[in-house]
Amino acid sequence: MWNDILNLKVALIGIAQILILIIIAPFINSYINKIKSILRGQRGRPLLQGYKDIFKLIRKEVVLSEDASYISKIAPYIVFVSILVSACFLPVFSPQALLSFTGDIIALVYTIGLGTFFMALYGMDQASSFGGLGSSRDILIASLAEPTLMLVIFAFALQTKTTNISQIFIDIHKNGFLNYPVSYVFALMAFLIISIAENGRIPVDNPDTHLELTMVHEAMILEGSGRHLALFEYSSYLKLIIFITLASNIFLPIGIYSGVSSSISSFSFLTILYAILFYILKVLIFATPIAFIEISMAKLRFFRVPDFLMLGFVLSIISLVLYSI
Amino acid sequence: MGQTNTLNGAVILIAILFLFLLSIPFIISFNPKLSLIFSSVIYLLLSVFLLFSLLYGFAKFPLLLPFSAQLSKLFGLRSSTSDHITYLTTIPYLKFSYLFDNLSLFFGFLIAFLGFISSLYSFNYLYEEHYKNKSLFVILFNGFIISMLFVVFSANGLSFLIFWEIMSILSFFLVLFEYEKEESKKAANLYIIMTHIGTFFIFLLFLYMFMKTGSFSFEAWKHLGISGGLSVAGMTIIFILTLLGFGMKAGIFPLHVWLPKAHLEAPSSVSALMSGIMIKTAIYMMIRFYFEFMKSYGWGFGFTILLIGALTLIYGVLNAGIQDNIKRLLAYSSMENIGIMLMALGLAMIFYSQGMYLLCAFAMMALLFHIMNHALFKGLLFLGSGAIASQTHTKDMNKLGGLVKKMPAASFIFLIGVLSAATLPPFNGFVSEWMIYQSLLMASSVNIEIIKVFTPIFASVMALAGGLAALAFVKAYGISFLGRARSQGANSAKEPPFLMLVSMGILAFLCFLLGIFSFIGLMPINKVVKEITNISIYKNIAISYGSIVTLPKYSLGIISPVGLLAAGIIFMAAVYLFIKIFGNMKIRIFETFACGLENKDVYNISDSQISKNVCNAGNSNNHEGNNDNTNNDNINAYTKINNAQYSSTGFSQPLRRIFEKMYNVKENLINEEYKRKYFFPVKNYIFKAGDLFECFYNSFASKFLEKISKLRAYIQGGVVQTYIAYIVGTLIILLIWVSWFYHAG
Repeated sequence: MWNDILNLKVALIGIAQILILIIIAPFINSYINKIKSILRGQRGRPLLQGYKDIFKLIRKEVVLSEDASYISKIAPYIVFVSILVSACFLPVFSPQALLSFTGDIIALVYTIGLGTFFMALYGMDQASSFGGLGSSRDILIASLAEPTLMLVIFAFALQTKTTNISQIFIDIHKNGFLNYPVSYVFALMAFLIISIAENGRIPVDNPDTHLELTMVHEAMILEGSGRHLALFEYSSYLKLIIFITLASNIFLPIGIYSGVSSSISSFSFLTILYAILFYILKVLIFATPIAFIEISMAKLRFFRVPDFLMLGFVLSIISLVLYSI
Repeated sequence: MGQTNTLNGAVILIAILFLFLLSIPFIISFNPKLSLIFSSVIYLLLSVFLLFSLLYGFAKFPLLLPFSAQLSKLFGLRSSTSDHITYLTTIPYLKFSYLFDNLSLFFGFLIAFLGFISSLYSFNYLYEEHYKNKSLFVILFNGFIISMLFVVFSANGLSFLIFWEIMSILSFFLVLFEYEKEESKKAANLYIIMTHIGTFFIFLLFLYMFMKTGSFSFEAWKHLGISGGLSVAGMTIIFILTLLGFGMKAGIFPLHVWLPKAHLEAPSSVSALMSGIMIKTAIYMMIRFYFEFMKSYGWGFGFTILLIGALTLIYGVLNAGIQDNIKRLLAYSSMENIGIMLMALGLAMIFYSQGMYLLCAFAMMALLFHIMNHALFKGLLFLGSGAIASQTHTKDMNKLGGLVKKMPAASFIFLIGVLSAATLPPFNGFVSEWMIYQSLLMASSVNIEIIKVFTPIFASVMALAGGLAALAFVKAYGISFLGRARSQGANSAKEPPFLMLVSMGILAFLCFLLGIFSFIGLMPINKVVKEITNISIYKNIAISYGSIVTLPKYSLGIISPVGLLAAGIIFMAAVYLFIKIFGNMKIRIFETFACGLENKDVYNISDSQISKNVCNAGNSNNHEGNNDNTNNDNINAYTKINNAQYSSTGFSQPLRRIFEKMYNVKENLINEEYKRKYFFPVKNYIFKAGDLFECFYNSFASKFLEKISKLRAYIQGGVVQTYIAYIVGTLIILLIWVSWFYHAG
């Protein structure tokens, strides 16, 4: 009886966590844009523009290429759902992730990989030159970012002796990063670089342009329209928020999150509310530097991107070595 | 001269029955169709039998055949506890003895099952490809499968070598099957030379084992390991010889050169067998040597294997990414997977050498599961490439495209294979890759600094390879199936015949099934692992809801593919409903923007249009390779047909450029003769991607041969006087030798 209620509560917390992610994802994107605009001296788009864009796109009809096959019809859904499923592995403000028993951090990387795979296929499905260009570049950047990501993940998995994300977060919240402070700083820098690369932000890719020479992600979904484009846009928002959540929970391990495994008995609405507010605060803190980086850097030439990613790899190696010593 | 000495009358009877059945396809090979149908039925029966005996042991078989006891008496067979069947011959040391332990049963099952699938496939494929000597094909094909079966069941060094040789030679003939083609001859020559160099090392290895034990039987070699009669030097010799001998067959770095060529030239059902299982017979023997014949060794051997695995992995996947020929791409991807297997094998060896049998069992399970998964998805992909080649008459991806509309069923099946090979959830490749990642993580509990430091780096190598494999397979699927046809052949393709689809469909279904309900595949593997490490970890790692967890003691992670799939389906339904309720479900069909070029079926246009289009493309062509048709192996240039679509060569251009040093790529843009240079130019783009090591070996071999021939020219100068001087000199030396040494003696 008690267990059932407990499980219900756990499930509710899990659902609340995924809902939070879904709800704030467009907001964070608008927030980054707003900060960029303010820094440029512009007024910028309203903070709720992300939601409006998505709804506008959903209500428009889809224009599909005559060369497109069923891949174009299912790929947007698979991309979005793969990001959603990987978001379910992720504990947001409490360790009770909805699907923490189905996947660990390696599964998270590979589930996001499924989305990248189908997005690349989508780019090639319309027989356009831009789509192929975008797919080729995007999947190459993703695969070059993968080793650094795995190295950072392994560094944390080795420290906490688990690959379960909830467990990693609990451990880090419990012990803090004071044991290996320097190692954490390098890991954070490496993680920042991969987050930029995986999410296609400046200096790797510019999400705002449609210039043939510079675009990577945008080229892939150039043929997308209507609900398909809405799903692609939403999944890129969600992907960004997943990376920010990972970073904020690993590198800023303070808050009500810690010691929650015992506090499940003292479950109350208020603590949850505090936890959510604190989480949003942390996300805003971690989203701000992205805006600053984007405003202060130019986009790198495509063949300079590997150097940039190599920098991330070296940083993660340094972090690992510092940890092992 | 048969004299039998057996475990169990029933098994002998079944073995004789199967031998009889297996000979039927040879006898009726004059009718290829009938023969292939027979052989597929027999292989299916055999695989079911082998799986059953793996799962439940031979002990149950007498129950199945109640009259077996009487029959055994009738034939004078004795039951004993030994699991060998031995046929003595009059030649000393040459015994044909066969061993049915779980390891060989597992590999035997994979061989028989893949044999079933590819005979089913060949039934239609032979007629689709219009091969001439169909009866010959059937004989070679069945002989190849049966020789592989005998290889894994051999329990004696000499009989193993005999069947190993038969296997190599039959596969050589199969690679050479289209013997009129120059490339086939080259590939087959390279294959037979390299495989014999490998066999040479295996021969040395077996001779060394014979010197140590005085016997060729595996039983005696096992005792050698148990008694610890090997010094460190002896162990190292065995290790290096196994690595060279079996590594050649497995295609490890840098002995892989034959692999992409032979896989490319063989008929597709044979490439599926070669890549799916033949290269793994080498892994099978490595397991035998490292876990049964050599018992105690340091962690250095395991680490070496791990390192070679990582190199093979990264080299294979980097080369897979740039191939334009779909079968070459798949062959390099096989090399990548061999790398993954070697990494798992290396980890298992490290754990074994440190006495961590629990972890060893886990890594072993990951290894065997990946072997099984790779046999399934790579078999599927090679069969699929055969379906493409037979329908479009080309394997060059620059001439494919748009097949998803021409062959919808085949394209869907191929998509499943591609997703499994790119190790993405929810397919089987992901589960075994995940298990290998977990084994790598657990290697950090080995108390050796070097291993601790290197495991995360190996993991990142695996991650890079996973990403690049995704690139290679996006290219394989995206270029050949999606978009628009790039040649007349691709445009007129049709769905492959029924049995080809069925055989591929079975494999695709199994890829999905093992990806979701992985415990089905882990069940038989557990038997094998238990035999090697004496630990049954199936109960520990597979819990209900189809989850796979790492070992309880090292509770690192847990995945549940079933949960993943269920969550995916629920979310998919939710998103679909949401859009259906709040959104717009209309679709309008319109043509793709083609950058101002004519977006017509380009292969029908005339020459004047070609030159016009090429001129137009020249302006916007800053991503080179955009409109380049290329051929892979031989310099074979032809006029570009412009098409706004991305080409295969163009797709891999960024990869080629970033990892320039790893490739032996030559590209050239030359003006067509007698055409205007600046105004409406016609240019040929020549692209050649060879293997770096092949180039290296070739230059080495040519230098070596040059030296040898110079020496020969010096000695054999063609002057008669010199020859007479040689004869006189030899005579004098012989005389001195005889008179001094023999006389004195």
